[in-house]
Amino acid sequence: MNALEYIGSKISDWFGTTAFPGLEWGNAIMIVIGIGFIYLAIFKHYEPLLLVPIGFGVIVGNIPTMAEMTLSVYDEGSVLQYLYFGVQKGIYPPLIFLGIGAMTDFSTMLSNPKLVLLGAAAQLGVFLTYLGALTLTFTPQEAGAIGIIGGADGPTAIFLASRLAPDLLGAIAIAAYSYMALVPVIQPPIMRMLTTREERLIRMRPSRIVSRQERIAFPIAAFLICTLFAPGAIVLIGMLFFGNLMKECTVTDRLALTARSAMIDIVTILLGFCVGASTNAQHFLQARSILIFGLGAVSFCIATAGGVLFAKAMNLVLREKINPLLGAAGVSAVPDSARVVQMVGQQEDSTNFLLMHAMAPNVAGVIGSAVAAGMLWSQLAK
Amino acid sequence: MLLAMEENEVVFEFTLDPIWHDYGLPMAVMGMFVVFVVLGLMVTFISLLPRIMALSSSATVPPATPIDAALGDDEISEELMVVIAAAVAATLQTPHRIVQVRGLTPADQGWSLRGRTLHHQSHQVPRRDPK
Repeated sequence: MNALEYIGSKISDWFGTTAFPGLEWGNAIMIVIGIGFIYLAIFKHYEPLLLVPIGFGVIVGNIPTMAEMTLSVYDEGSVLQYLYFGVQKGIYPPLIFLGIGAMTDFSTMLSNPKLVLLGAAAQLGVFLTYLGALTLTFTPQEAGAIGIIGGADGPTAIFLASRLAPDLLGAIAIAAYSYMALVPVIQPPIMRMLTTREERLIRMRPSRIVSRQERIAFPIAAFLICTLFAPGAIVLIGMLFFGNLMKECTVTDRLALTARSAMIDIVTILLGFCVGASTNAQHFLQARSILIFGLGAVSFCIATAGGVLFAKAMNLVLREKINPLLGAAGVSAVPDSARVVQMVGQQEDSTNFLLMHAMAPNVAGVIGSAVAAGMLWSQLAK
Repeated sequence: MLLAMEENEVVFEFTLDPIWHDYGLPMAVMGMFVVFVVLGLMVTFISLLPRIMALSSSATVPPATPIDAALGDDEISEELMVVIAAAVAATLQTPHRIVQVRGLTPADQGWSLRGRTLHHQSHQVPRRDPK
């Protein structure tokens, strides 16, 4: 063997250890999708806190490696698998809920309680999609995990998928977060289609001032009400209201501050990155994933329509009418769907401020989707 | 009903059969019912919350005594003293001690009046004769 052949064989050996020989079309497509997520986050400002970690995770998860190297989330003992453990076992979602609770102000909901029902109506998307998934021959457990995408709550979707259908976790998580990011695109046409201009112009009465005692009593009582009826929601609802109690009681400011800043940021990074890294083309690019994406889109549309139509139905019996656009905020993408309500409302009347009122059904939607998830889990885990 | 095929393998099917099972429509209806019941109870609780709070506060807090009623004509109430102290603190922004707070007497107002008169006189505009 002369020197040239030797160098050629060494280069060939080295090339065999690179990612190129194992790179398939599926991986390339997923890498492009990951870059697309990052583009949407940075240049279109679609949920950047979620899409940047997810997008980069997608790229990381689709770099092929040699079989002997344990690197991906699916390789036993790899670093990424340890990080993915928090997704797989449903550890991260409750921690996210703790942070959400510590940053949520329930005052608008407490000052106008009837808006809570809009958060319940929007869960129609969850249960109709559940039925839709059953008709497409998904198992009841898989259908439940897919249906919860309609709750528009990423952590809840991941939590329920990890409990009921771990095989579909990646697809469900990506679908849930993608549609959450696309709330400003999906919701407005449905909201305009289902409401008249006169309805969109309805002004809401200013909120009353809620006392500190009320804000302290609420999380404890609401936790008891929710979990006595749907014990499956103990982890999510418990962490949500625990976080809120830490915020409202004012004697645990340090804990509340950590929960709503450093802790939720760390968990969001880990959750987003790991979910992205789990979308390896071999596991992710399947016909069922496309079905899940389709069902997720339908689920979001039904949830939005359910909330708006229920608000219109409430107006038939209410003396003081509510703006039916608020129904769309029952979809629990906090605070995106509330912002969309504000945006659509201001397109009709720039002096009509609906944001604070929309936060009421929005946070009620978070509670409603967690109750729906708890209910599905307790019924389908049998 | 068969919806799609991939390399002679069924990818997914459509059937209405599962809808009629216990885990189908009955469970979906029950799920919506549970969500509405839970959030409906929450609405009821939230609606009653101000009254519950009012009841508990009226049971524990003794009725407030009117402070001003005990004061003489030339005395300043405690609340007003606190407001004045807060205003002074906000203005000075330095450590300080308020020695005395009292209402203005006619003599004090005399000095003010004298000062105001001198000030106005210093700005007297020369009279112009009408033509």
